[in-house]
Amino acid sequence: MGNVKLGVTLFCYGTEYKRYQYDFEECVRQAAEAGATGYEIVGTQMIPSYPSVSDEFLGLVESCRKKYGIGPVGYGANNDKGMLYDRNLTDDEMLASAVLDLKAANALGCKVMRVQYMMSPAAFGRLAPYAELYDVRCGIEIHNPETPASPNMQAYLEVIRQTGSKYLGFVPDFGFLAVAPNRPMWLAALKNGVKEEHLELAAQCRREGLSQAEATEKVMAAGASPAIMTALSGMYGFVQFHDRRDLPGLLQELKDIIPYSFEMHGKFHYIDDDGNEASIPYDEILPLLRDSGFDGYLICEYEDELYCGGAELTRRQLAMEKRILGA
Amino acid sequence: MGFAMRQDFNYGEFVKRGSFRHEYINGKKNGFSFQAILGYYRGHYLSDIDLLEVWLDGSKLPDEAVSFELNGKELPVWKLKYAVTEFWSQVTPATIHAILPGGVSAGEHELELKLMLRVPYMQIGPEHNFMPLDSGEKCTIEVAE
Repeated sequence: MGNVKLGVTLFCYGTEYKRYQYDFEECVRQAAEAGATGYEIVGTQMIPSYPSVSDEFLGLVESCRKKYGIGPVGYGANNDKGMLYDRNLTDDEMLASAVLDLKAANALGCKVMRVQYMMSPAAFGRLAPYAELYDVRCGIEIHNPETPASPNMQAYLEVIRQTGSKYLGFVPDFGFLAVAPNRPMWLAALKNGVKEEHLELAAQCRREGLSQAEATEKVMAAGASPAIMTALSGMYGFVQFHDRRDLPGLLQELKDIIPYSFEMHGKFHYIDDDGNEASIPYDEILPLLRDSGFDGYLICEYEDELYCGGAELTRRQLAMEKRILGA
Repeated sequence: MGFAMRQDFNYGEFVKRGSFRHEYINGKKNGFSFQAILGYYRGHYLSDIDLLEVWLDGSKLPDEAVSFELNGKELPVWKLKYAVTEFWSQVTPATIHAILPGGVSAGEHELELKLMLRVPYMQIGPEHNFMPLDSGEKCTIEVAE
């Protein structure tokens, strides 16, 4: 499997954690049992003293490491540009907040930090000297609907090249490689009374490049239930998908960005009984990753759109990754 | 109200069931409290709260009679938007206090918490335009004497 290391973001267990079914330790235990050799922690989700990391929490992290053999390797930062009621944070404020995230990542022993693209390219560039001091490499998350070649991401690439820092790069999220509609949203729409033929029509509109407004008009004219709107907005938003014919080009975009990538987010929404992700073609992505020489963590990340909990599907995702990577 | 995101981790429960309590002023029933659950996968700074209102049996309680308690600190509603350092974890319920002269009578009541936040990393338009999050709920409660 080359130098690809398998990890899990504890975000996968966000539903169980929110429902008090799992505490932090149980999330770590589940990740270890699924086969992860390290985990990502989202600061705003699971650090009780956020944005600071308390000694008590560090003690818990270490005790889990002793018991289950794994510890934090990635820190998921949130870059809350909209946290003030009346205006956006300035670049100076975004930068200063991210420095505290670096401090937290460093305290936890993480060597990689996911940064969201709310932080402007200019502010991101200014993060480099701090990232070097803390020895934490910072990667802008490339999240659907962005792709590595989209103008927003290219603006970061330019800054990365300008700074020349080995501490600034990317964390691609494989959600951008989706080539089929999001399965949970599809299932939820069916459950809400939407007819499958209308969902198929919406997907066809998306594939043919119609705008969201045009697609909406077309499905409504065909008599679709208004409950289709959530699935249809998803097709044009954070869970958008591409036509399968676009896949070679998207894989090439991934290949081009790998030298600048510190960590991969192995996004998944649904793993069927045969162990396949319904919309993201892992059997084509992972061999490319393995053969690219990528040296880092593939952190699997479950988006629980069905609110059913992530433990079982995360085990399936890891098993699928191992199968494809030949581990 | 336009579109707002809702996350359903707690089966639609944002007013914690069983958390209703009478509150007393000088030994007399003159208000109530209940716990509010943040309906999101991560925590938020209180400054992300755009709206907090408490309604009982269809009537809105005055803003000055409502307060928000978290981690041992009690804030009047107007201070929430300035609370840029108070972080509300999604697994720590907050306590909402309300002063109501005479208190709440025994029996069935309709309690509504209107709670709207911004998802501060999800910009959906130019400038200060972020995904609205609805973490409120209208529910029927059975109040004991």
